[in-house]
Amino acid sequence: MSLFLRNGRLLDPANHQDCITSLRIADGIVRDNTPTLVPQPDDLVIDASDLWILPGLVDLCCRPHIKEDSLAQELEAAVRSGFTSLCLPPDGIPCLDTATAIQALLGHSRGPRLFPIGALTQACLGHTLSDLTYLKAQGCIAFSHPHAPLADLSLLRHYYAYAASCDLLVIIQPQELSFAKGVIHEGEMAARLGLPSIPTVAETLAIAQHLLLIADTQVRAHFTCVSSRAGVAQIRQAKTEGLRISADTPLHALHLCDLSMPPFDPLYHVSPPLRSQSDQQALLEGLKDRTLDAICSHHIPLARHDKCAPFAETRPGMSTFDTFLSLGLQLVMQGKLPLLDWVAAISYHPAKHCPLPVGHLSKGAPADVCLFDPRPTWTVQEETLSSAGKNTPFLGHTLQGQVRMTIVGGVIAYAR
Amino acid sequence: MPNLPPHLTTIAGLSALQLQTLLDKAHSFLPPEGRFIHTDTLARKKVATLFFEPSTRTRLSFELAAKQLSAEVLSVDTANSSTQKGESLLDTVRTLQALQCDIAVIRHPQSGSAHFIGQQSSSPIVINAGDGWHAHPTQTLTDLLTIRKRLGPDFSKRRVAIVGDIRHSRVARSLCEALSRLEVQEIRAIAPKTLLPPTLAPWRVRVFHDLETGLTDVDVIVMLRLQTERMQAGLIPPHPAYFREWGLTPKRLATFSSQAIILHPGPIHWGVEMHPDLLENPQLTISEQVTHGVAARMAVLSLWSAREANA
Repeated sequence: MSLFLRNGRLLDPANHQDCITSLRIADGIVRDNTPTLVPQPDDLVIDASDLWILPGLVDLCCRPHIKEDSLAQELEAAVRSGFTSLCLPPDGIPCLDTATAIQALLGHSRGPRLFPIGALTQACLGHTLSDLTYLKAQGCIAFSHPHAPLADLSLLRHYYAYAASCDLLVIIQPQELSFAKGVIHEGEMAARLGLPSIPTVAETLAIAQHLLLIADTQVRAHFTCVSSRAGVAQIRQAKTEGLRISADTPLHALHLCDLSMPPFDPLYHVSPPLRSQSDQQALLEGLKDRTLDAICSHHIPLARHDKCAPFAETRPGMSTFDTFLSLGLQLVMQGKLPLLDWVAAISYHPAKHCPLPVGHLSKGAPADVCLFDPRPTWTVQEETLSSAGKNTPFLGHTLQGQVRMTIVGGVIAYAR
Repeated sequence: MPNLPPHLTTIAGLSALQLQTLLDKAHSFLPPEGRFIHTDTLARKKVATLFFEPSTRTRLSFELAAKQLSAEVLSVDTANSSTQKGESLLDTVRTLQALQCDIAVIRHPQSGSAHFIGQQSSSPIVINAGDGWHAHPTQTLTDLLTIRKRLGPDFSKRRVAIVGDIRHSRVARSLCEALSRLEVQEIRAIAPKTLLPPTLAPWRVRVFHDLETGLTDVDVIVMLRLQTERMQAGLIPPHPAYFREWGLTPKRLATFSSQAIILHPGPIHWGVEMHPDLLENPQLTISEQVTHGVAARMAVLSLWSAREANA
């Protein structure tokens, strides 16, 4: 199939492009883009007037596979939301520590490209190093040790040293687990509501520890879901010193802080927790000065009963695919983030640091495209969310912008 | 009273005027001498008490208050003290709805549990008897009534010191909310850092780590029980360190706060928060607090039942 996207506004940060142009796709790759391009006879012509042509979105942290049987619907929700590449952490169902599990994941032929993040240790238990190069050969693009307590730091040092010697990327969600009993940021809201809290030092202790090990072993590393001002400062300093690290933050942390929450509303229960306004401001500053490279969705679709309990008994997580682009656009419209910086943070930069061969629309690049209409408004309602997870605090909100089409490898995966 | 929230889950939703009205109503239920007042305000109404945490005085106080108002009282025998999951909490409330209970008095170890139940339905009316670390509204009304009876109705002059495990104390949180709303002259928190919440800024509280400095010139001292069942290990050294640093003794009282009244929500850990010699001290208000507690709860039950009738 060949496609011709006519007269859209191309936003391609990798090539510093923001212009009205036409783009031709054939055999799964971008063939050409110029304003004067004309379609060829067999091209399917798509009128992209008034639409934005974005590189397909690349997500470094999401958990659509958090429950058995949830993946197919969530992959559909992802393409409807403009995602063309998803990096999946190893702690979903099944754990990504065997060839069988990885192949089962990659067997999903519809929807976005899937890039497994393999388990750094077998079953994510922390005791035994996984066969990293074997898992890489199966398709893993990075490795991670999420959530579970680690046996000891000397083991972690060995794991990182081994990963470094194989030039493998390690992805770290920095949270010191001895603080894990908290459910909300340690601040004013926690004080008012009497909820056990997670201090900022839970993140900064973990970042500090990992930075020292990264410097010691020279492993390539990416910090995901950074949430605090102090955490951003640590990463800024480490980059200044030349460490090969990158970092992202979840979109909802740019929109919400601890004081955004109505008392005890479980839709705001996430991990890491929503922190203070000052932390939120620092995350935006970090994106602007490239301390933070990317914005992730941290999409976690949960069932109604997961959120139907007193706050501390609910599962942390927010359903974010459906609102991702609209909420990002809102930041741009509010002047909080420049347009091309935002597009880069959700496409080119997350791909660049893995590295993945996507996230840009250069000639010859894989034709992963999101056609986005920034104009229409829509109301977030349970019935209109594509994800099975209705756990979003933005229910009832009116947002702007909708995906018109998502193209993966030159094939239309979704059209409105 | 206009604009009462549908449930009483926290002091935070109440205005100063509503607090004063509640106190006036509670005052009207105080026994002049001898026996508690008896009315038929809640005749043919069902009041259920569900206590998911152990309690003697609060449960008895609510049940007596309901009976003094002629309500039918159901004491629901919940499972043992381990935390209940949301499903069984909901199931219990649905049972109460099916039994046509008008009011449910609930104590639960999770902060926000009363709020959660109240969100599910407007019926039964939920009265929070203590949820985790979050709130204990009727204890606060009891304490305010005690302060008012002993020191007069003008709260703006009061300097109140709260001593002890404030971090884990629903009594302290609700009291701070109320005292802020009533614009008292000063609220002090006296405790080691490990027993204080992340911040006390919402209530403009002055923090003291030294007991004697903190007690100087206050006229109300609220001693909190050291909540051993909620403390994680390592917050304070083993006994007698806490008593030595923050225990109220007759000597400290006489030296630094000889005129202050002393409240305690009970039960008191003698020898931990307070020296046993203080038991007969006339500054201690614990007996009156029990009486005031029944009156405060009668006020709450009658006003919220009337709110529902007028809604």
